[in-house]
Amino acid sequence: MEALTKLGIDWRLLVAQLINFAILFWILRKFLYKPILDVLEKRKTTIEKGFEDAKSAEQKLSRAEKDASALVQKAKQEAAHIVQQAQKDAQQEKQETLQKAKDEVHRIIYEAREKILAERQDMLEGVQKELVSVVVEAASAVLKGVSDKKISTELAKKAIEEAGN
Amino acid sequence: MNISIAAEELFKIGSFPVTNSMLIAWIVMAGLIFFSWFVFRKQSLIPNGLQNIFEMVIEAVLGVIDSVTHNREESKQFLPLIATIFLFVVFVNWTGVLPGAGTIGITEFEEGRRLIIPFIRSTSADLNFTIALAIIAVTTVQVVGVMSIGFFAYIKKFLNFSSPLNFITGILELVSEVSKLISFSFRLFGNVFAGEVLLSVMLFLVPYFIPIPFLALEIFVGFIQALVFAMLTLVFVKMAKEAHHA
Repeated sequence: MEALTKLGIDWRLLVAQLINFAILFWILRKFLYKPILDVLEKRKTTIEKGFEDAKSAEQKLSRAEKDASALVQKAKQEAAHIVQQAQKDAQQEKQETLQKAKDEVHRIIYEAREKILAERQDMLEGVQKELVSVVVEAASAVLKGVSDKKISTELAKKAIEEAGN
Repeated sequence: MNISIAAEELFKIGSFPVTNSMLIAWIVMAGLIFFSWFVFRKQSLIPNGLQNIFEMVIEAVLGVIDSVTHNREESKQFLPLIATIFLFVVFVNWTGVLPGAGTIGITEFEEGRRLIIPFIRSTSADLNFTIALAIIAVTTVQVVGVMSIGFFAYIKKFLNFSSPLNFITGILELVSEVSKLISFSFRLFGNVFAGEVLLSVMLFLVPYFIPIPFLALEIFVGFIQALVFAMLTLVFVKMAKEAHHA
């Protein structure tokens, strides 16, 4: 026991040091280790989440790009189709209009010709009639008193026929 | 100059003697507790300043523990004990190199000689502290051993009557547990106390410049001894936990 005393060992001090360590252990666990481990854990999950988010964002982006390019492709095709259709329609319309115009022209020409023919016919008839009467009158003037009316008419008709031939 | 193996009593609270090493223990504890509280009263995910330093230290300790356990979850279980031992011992050791350690204190006359009772004495230069710490370390090892393989299986390690050889091995195991207690406490005490003696002798002989390399040496020794204490505790605890594999 004397040796222990010489070494300065005192059970009261020893117990006090045990208690000191216990106090430090409990308080540091609460104030130091737990917060640090929490922060490390939280930081780890945050970083992991960040990576995850970045990855999913990248995937989304590539998908969106793919979608967009598909959409553009589709739009281009549609546009080409529309233009083609429009060209075809325009062509057809042009053809139809042209046809219609041609028909109209034909119709007008035909009608005009008909009209001309009819008018000529009328004119001819009128002229013939006039001519007959003129010839009759001339003949009658020439053959005044010489022949009767019946003879002169016959003569005139004959003369015209000959003239017509 | 006087050299005392025992820590010197400064004053009494009731009948409880407050020694200089006890005082230093309280100051170091208060400092550690205050800074921990101060830094982590609000923790931020993006560390700054002091929090960075604290995290760096604790992560380094965690890394060292990992190198022994190879298991992060187990390391987290061991961290409070190992880190507390390391932090407490390392700061307590370093108080021994503070200016005034062993030199500034109360003057007392004893048997006609003038003695200085210094205010600062490294707590590790007091056997009460190192033995207390060794008791905690060795007790933890026993508790972990019992918890991992059961009380009777653990006792069988020391008291085994199955054969004379096993019996003798058991006795040797028992002796080795006791010797752990002694080696733990006297290694730390011896190193730090010797360091203090060395420094005061150097100061006494050549007050200027010559003690500087020894101060640097003592800072190094203080760190190494804290590391050794913590690492040995860790290794023993780990071995006790793995005992059922053996």
